[in-house]
Amino acid sequence: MKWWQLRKRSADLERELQSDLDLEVEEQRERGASAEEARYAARRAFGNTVLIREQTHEVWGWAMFERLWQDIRYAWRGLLRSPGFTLTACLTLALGIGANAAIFSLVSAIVLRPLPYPSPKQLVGLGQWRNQKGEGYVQTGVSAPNLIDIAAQKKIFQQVCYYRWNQFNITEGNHPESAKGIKGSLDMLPMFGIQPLFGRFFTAKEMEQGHDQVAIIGHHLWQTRYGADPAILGKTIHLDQKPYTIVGVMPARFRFTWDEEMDVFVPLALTPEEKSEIGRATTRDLQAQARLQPGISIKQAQAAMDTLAANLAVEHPDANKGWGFKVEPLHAAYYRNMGKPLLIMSGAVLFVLLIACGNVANLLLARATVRKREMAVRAAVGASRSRIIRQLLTESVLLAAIGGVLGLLLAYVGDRILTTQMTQYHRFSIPNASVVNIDWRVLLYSLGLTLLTGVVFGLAPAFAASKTDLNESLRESGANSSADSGRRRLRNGLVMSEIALALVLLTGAGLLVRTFLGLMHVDLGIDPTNVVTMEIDLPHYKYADAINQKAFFQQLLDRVQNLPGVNAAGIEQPSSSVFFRPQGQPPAQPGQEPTASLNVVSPGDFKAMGIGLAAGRGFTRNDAAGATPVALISEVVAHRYWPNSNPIGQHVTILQRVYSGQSADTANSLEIVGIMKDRRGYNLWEPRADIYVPFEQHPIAWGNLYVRTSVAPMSVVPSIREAVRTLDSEQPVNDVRLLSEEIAQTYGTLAFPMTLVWIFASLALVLSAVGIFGVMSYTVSRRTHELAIRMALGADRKMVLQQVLREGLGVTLFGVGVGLVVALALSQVMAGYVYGIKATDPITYAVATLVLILTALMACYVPARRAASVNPMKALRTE
Amino acid sequence: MARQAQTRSAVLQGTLDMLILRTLLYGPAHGHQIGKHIQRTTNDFLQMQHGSLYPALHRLEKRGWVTAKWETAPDRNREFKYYRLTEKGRKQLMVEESQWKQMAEAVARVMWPTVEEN
Repeated sequence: MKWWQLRKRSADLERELQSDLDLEVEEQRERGASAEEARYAARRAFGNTVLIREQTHEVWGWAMFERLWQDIRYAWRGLLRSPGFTLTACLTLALGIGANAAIFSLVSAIVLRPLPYPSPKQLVGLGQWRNQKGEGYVQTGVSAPNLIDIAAQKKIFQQVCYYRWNQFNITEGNHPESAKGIKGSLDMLPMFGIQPLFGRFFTAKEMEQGHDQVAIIGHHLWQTRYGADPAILGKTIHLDQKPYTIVGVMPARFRFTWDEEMDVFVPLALTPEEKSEIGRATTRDLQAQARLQPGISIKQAQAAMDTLAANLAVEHPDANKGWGFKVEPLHAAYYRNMGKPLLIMSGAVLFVLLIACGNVANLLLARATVRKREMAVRAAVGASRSRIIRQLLTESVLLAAIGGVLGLLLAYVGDRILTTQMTQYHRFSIPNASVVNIDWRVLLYSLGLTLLTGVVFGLAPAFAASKTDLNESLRESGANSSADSGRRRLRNGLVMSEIALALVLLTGAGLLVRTFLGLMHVDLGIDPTNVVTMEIDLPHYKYADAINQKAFFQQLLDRVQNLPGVNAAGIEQPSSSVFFRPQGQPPAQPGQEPTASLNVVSPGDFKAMGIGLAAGRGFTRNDAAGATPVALISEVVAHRYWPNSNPIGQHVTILQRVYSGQSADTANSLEIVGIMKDRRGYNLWEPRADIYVPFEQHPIAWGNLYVRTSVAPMSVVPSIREAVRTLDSEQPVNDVRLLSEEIAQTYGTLAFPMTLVWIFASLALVLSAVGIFGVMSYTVSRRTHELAIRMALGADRKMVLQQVLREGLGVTLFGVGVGLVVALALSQVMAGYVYGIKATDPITYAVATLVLILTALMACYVPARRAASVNPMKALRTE
Repeated sequence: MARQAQTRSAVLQGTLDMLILRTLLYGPAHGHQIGKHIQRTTNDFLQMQHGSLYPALHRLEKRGWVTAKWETAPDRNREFKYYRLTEKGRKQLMVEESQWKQMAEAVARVMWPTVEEN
């Protein structure tokens, strides 16, 4: 039988029972019984019709669903009858489920959604790392000869590829534009497993110098610049004034590194030197990715790479000693930075949900007491205990379902806000932020969460409510009964858990806030007010040699410095990691050379950036090309390598750049002439280890111009642009921004997860306050009788007030105790993230505890006042 | 009360199906007639309430051993739901009957052992 026949079937059964019953009555009448007697006799002979009906329905096989449907309708009516309860419960749950769904959609978009390539699990990122004594890990790309050795492990890898990011200028036609480009090896595009829309990949021949002027373009560029020209293949695109033949177009869905839409791909033709043994140390800037052979695990690959690294360290100690290889899932490599914030946020919302569940469970418990008679009646007419529990669970799951639907609406709104926030900080490592939405995973998760919460908060109250002593419940008129004390324990236990959870969240949020405040007040070492910065990149096809480059920047700085409203101007090439040798120290073992950030600056840069001099002198015009090579070091470097002596007058030798291995043109040792105050970059947690060298002695082709003004900084930008144009009418100026904005953005990246956790913690505080308020109010209302007697016997109002407050405080303190233990146990999660304090910071814990206790006391005060204002006469008379 | 009814029908269930099928061997009958017949034939020994027949009847119908149809009763001039034995039901009756016989014989042999076995 099918379910849609149920209704007809049911009517049919009704008719059958009725007709047979009628016949029985008729027969009894015929035997001479009176009408009433006949009816009773027939009923007796027939049996319990309700039961017969139920048993027959069972036979049809749909009884379970019929009962469920019945329960749902019954629950729905019950909820409609008490709209206040329903609204409170649903909204509380909606908050909890919504917050979880919103954060889970982040997790789904960032962590769970697989990379958009075939067999994405085979894709791995490769890196080289070494452990620097006292500095931690240094991770780089993988050098070209090492990659060749890695690729030879054919059992492990199907393909190994490498690439470099490259910003191109499309130098043709009337509208030059810049293009996001990748120079990659032969296998780089094929590795992803996505074929070109049309055209082809590169050939091995095209990976050689002289044959490498071919390009594959991205779908977006093809559409916007070429109007989706179907005959694009074979046409020429000029990149940095060099002609490239277009051989392919990638499809629209193709994204590089997960979510980057690239404009052009060109072959990366390494020089013979880069490919030779020298390259082992000079090409560590190559970004390396690989596709594993089917069935090879990350662990196996890592083991093979460890062996290889050990062998290479023996064979090529100069370049490879101390270096290891790292294999990690490409997906994980992309979202690595988001891991911890996501974990903290997920934990926070889960706690909020648990607290919400606690509140709703308490509401249900209170409701169960009110409905005790209803339950007793149901039991009296034959409902078994499991039947009643099922009914009550249906009700709580229905509540959760309504809450879940509302929660998804909340999550939808939340997702929109999150997306806006994150795309704003996208460049700081939140990948895939633009696709955060409610996908099937989020729906499934929310559904599971809803059912689970429905059962979690419904189960205890359902058990408590179904445990009814028939006689007592039916007889009693609302006074205390023995079952009540068990329920009170349950209620207090729930509130205690809520308080414990809220405390964990509060301490977590407190740690984050203290960390943020600590970082806010940290000395950045620079003064960002009234500083504007912009990037100037001299094209190599125009400024090939050092003299041209120096001349351009020198003239530019002279002009800008003399602009009205400008206090100082400097150029700085942002740091790159270098190995160096501090003089007066025993030469380090190969693989143990210290590292620092090398910054090439103009003399005016320190004044423009507001970096203070700690000792010695800064750079001057006299530190020119022919003069003694000089350097400045930051305080961290001074303390680390000259702990007991004055570094001024000592020497450092820059060995090579960590990534490119290039000599940095500083083969000679540099004399340290001064110590600069420490500064901090994107990593606000610790100061950078800086070495500064003058740009006159180390020519640069690109750098950031920093200009400190006495007027509104943006107002001088047009005249700076004019100064650049006067020197070179074609030279673009990029990325004009305020230094203060850049720093605000760095803080914004930090503030984002912190704000969320803070919001969740406040929510937890409010919810748990509501929880304790509800329980205390309920307790007071149930004990009006007792309190009235006490007062009639002479207790004064103050004593009653104190008694209620003491009870509330007891519950709170117990919860706080448990919460502190849990918070301490979980504090490890925050270690490494906090700044200026320990993850077990006593002040944070104390403040969080105090805030929670005060809030709880305030929540208890209202019911306590009500208790104290009980009028004994009135209260006792209503009994 | 509810529980009692359940136990009784459970005890009867195995044999009740067989009794109904056997009753229908005489020809189509409605629920009331079947109940009356079983009660009368057993001299009211099976103190069963007519109601417990209906779940059984519907179970038999679901298994395809009987079919049901609303037909006018000749003596009452109104419709009753008449059950009719199907071919499948006839076979089932034979199966159940032989099983019951074997069971009864087995029980009997234990309860009242015959002389040869001594």
